[in-house]
Amino acid sequence: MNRRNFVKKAGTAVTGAAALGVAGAASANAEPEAEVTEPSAAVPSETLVAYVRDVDTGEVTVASGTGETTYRDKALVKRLVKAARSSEEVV
Amino acid sequence: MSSHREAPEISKDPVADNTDVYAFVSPDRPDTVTIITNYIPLEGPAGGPNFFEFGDDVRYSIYIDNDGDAKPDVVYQFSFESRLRNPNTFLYNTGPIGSLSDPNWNRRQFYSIRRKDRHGTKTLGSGLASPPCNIGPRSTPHYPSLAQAAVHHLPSGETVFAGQRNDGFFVDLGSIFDLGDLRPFQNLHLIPTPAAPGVDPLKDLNVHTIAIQVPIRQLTRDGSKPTNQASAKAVLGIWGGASRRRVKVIDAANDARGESGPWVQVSRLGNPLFNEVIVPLGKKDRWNGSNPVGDWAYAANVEHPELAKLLPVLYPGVFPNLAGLSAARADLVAILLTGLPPGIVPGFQNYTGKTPADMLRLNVAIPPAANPKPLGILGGDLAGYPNGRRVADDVVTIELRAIAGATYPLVNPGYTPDGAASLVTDGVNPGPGRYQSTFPYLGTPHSGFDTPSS
Repeated sequence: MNRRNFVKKAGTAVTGAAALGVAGAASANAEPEAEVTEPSAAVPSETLVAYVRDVDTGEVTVASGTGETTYRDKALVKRLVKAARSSEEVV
Repeated sequence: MSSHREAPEISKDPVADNTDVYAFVSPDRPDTVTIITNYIPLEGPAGGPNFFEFGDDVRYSIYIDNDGDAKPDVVYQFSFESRLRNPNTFLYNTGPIGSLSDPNWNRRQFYSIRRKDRHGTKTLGSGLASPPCNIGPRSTPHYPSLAQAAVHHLPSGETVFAGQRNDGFFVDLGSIFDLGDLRPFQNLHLIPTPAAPGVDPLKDLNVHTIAIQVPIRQLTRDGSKPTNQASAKAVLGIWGGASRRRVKVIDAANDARGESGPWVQVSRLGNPLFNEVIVPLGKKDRWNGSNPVGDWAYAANVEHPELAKLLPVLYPGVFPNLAGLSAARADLVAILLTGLPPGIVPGFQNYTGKTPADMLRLNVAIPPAANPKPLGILGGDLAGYPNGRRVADDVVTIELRAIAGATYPLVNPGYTPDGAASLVTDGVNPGPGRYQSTFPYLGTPHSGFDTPSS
C-alpha cells in the first residue's frame, strides 16, 4: 500500500494499524510547520513510533521504550495524517 | 552454505533468507532464460502442522541488469497471500489434497507478479496458486502432478512457479564449518583425522522456490536474442533479494498486524558463497541491505580473500604456492565482480564493465550444453558457472579451487597453482532425484512422511 492508499484507508478504518515513525509527538498548534528533510541520524535502538488507530476519533498509540500509551488527540492525528499525505512510496 | 543462514540477522528470518540463485539458458527451451531464487533454508520435510510457506509480509524480487551498470533494468516482484478455509481446525489439510482447489486443503497460498522496466510497472498475474508442501501419501498422494499444476504460463510470455522443491544445493556443511575441514583431505588438516567421503546434510531437506522462465528477448537491452557471445548485449547481470516493510506493529489484543513504510531489503544474493565466504561477519548484515552497485566496498575482500590465507595454514605444506601469492586476486574479481573479459577464456566472455558488483553474469548467446559438466567453465563447459549458474553446477568445488589458486593463471600465466588446487573438493555429489529436466528444474520435494528414512 502506498501513502495515498494508506491515508484513504486510515480515513475510513475503525482499527487501522498502519504505523508512522515520527521524530517527536508534540502539539500541532504550538509547533511550526513540519519541514521535509533527509535523515541525518541513525535509527535509535529504542525507536519512538506513533501509529494511528482511528483517524476519525483521533486515536493514536505512541510506543516508546518498552511501553506505549494510547491517546485521543485529534490535533496530533491530523498533523500525522498531513505528514503521511506528503510521503511518497519508496521502492 | 551457498547463502543459507549466511548472515546474523537473516539467519533469524528464514522466509526472507535467499539461499540460492540460479540463472541459465533453459536447456529444453533455449529461447528462454530460467531464473530461480530459493528461500527458507533447511526445511525439514516433516515440519507440520504449519508447513512451510512464503512470507505474506515479504516482497521477493528478481533483478536483471542488461546494460552493465549493476543497476536493475528489469525487476520481477512476487507478493504472497495466505488464505485459510477453516479457522476452526488445527489441520493444514482435512483429507487428501487432489488438486490446487481441493476443499480438503485448508491453508493455501497465492501470489501476484509485477514486472518493472523502462516502460513502467505492470502486473503480470495475480491469484496464482502455490502448491501445498509435500506431506505424505495420504495428504498429497500425487505430488508431482499437483506441483505441475502450479506451473503457470502467463499471457505476457513468462512461465512461473512458486512453491516447495528439493534443495538442489549440495555441500558438506558439517565439515566445512569445522575449521575448514574437507573430509577427503582431512588427514592433511592441521588437526588431522582419517580421510573420509563427504556428507551432504541438504540431501534430505527442502526449500521454497520462486522460478521464472522468461523469453530472452524480454530481458536484453534491445529486445534481441543475441547469437554473438562477444557482444556486450548478450550478458545479463542477475541477482535476487527480499524486502520487508520498515515498521511492523503487532496488535495481539485484536489479533491484527499492521505494516508501514518503505520496503527495506533484508536479503540479497548473486554469486553463491559471496556473502557467506567473502564478506566478513561484521559486514554481512549491511551487505544484505545494500545493492550490487555499491559492492566496490567489498572489492578488497575479493582481492585478498580470507579463505585463501587460511588454506595454507589449515593444510600445512599442501598449498605452498598459494601461501606465497600476495598479489590482488584479479581472477576472483573477474569471476565474482566484473565478469570475465574477452580473451581470458577462448570463445567466452561475461564482462559487464568496470563497476564491481556481485551478480550472476549470464551470457545468453552461449547455448545450453549437450553434456553439462558440473565444474562449468573450469571443466570446459562454457554454459555453466560462472556463466550464470545451473542447478547441478558444483559451485562449492569451483569456488574452492578458484580461491585455492586454480584460476589465477588466467590473469597471470606465470603462476603455477599448487597440485592440490585442482583436486580440492568437499567430496559430495547431488545424488538422484535432486533435479528434473523441465521447469522448474529442481526435483520433487521430499515428503514429510518418508524423510528422514529410518
